[in-house]
Amino acid sequence: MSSNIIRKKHKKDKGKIMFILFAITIPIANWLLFYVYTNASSIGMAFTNASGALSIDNFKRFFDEFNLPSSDIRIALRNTLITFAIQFAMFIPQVLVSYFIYKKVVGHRFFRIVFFLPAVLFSVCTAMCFTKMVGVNGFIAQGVGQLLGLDNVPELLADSRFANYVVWANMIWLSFPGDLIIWGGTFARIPNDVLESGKIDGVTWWQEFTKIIVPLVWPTVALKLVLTICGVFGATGQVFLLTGGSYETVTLSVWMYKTLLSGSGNQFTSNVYNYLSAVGIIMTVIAVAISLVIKKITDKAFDDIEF
Amino acid sequence: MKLLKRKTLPEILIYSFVSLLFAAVAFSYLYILFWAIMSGAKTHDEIVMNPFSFPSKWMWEHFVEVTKVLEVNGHNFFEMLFNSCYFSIVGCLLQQFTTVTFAYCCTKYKFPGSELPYVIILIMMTLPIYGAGGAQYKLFRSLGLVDSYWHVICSAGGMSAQFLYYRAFFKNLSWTYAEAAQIDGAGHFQIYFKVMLPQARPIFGALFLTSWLASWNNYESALLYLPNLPTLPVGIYQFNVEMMYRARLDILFAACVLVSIPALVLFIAFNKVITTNVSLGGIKG
Repeated sequence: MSSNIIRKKHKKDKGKIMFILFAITIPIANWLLFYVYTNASSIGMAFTNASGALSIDNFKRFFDEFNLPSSDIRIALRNTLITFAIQFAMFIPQVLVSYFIYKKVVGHRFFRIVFFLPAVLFSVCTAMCFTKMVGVNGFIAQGVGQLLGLDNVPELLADSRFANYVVWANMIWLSFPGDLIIWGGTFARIPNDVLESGKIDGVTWWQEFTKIIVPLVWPTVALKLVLTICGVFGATGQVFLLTGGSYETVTLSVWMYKTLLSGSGNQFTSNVYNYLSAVGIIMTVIAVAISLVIKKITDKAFDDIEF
Repeated sequence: MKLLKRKTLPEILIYSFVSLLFAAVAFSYLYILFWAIMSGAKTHDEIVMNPFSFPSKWMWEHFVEVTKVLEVNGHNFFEMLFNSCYFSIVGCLLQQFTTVTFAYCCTKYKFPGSELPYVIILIMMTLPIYGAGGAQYKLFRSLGLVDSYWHVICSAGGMSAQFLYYRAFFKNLSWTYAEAAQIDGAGHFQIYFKVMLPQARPIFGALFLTSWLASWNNYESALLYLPNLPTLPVGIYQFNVEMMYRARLDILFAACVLVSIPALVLFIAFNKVITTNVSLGGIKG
């Protein structure tokens, strides 16, 4: 009898082990190969020069280029930081959009669907439409030309005086609704009875917003903020589609993508991928430093983050 | 109605302002869609010269002509359509299936290291590593995953942010159903496939749709890794790059509209599923 039970238990354990192996093998293999190995070899590449020898040439090249005021990498870094600042500032309207939709502002059903359009529409489509709208034959470019008293209608996206502002305007416009899925879900999960009892106690809408809603959604806001800050060097708008990174609009991620694309034909002979890896490592080190500082500063505020 | 009466003046003013602002933004998004449709029915010269005016003649036949004219590097429209469907559907199904299984296993089974993926993902999210694209490209190349239908296996993983959503879901899912099935003699595979996985259908659907949408519209990585198996976004992107001598902006916008239709239809149809099933952090439901 007892041996029977033990055997049965043993058999069950075998099934359990089989199932666990079935579930974890592929994800772990994928992670080891495409994350651990890839990043390790990227570090190796960063310290490799064009002839394949160990060197710090790639890092030297970065600092040399960075010291040139008009180098791509310096412009990219500047634009990335500005883009990041805009993204960061857009947080407030983005959360408010979902808040007001949640509060059933007039037309909320309509907004809930239409505000998904920037995410649903094909990015080449929105970028191309935008490009044509700010083109020389549209009223926007003509208006800018008149306003500044220029002789010719400016090509807003092909003029380094304007291109960046147009790219940023495009970003603000398209990112206005924010991540409706995350924010919408967050507000939807505010327990109704909390708001009801607040109403019975006679709180004003302002008190309700500041004393009930903000504290309730704060953990998600904090989490999103931390993730945004940590991704600082990935900040970019539709730069690649709007200008291709020309006219001083390049950002780090566009620079990296263009480097990848241009090197894809001769990745075994050229040194561009090694240089890319070195720049990546420098950015990663800075990002780690930022993350640690943020964590130190905000430890208290972000104490109750939960995933 | 009762609530409306109790609104104070500043509240009414703010809500009216917000409604107007939202309406203006919403109008601009709808206008983009309308503008793309309208441009698809114009001629190339009309789009360039009068971007905002109505076409002198609505040429809806451009939307059919797309299937003949949209040809890039010898790949026709239908080849690209097939590639788009294949990479977005097969890739995302693989990705969601491996992720949901992985998350379920790590949440509901206790084994050495079962909490580790959660910790590692959090670290990966807060400390993104930049610049590994070159190393990744080299690896894909040497594995034969560039320009290959096998490229979809790169999606089969589980160490991603989506793991966290599935984890949160399974944490809140009771084990009682599994126990009942266990008493009936079901094995671990049966419990998962017949009892637990079906309950995850809504969140599976929501995450599948969001990642399908990203994949359907994606041209960046497809342009890099699948240049000779172009998807529709890659085809449209290339078509636009060659616009100087093609001079068919009408076809470009018609193609953009056609590509957007499946995404639009699915998004409107499943809006509710997508917006109510994914949650991140904070308030517990």
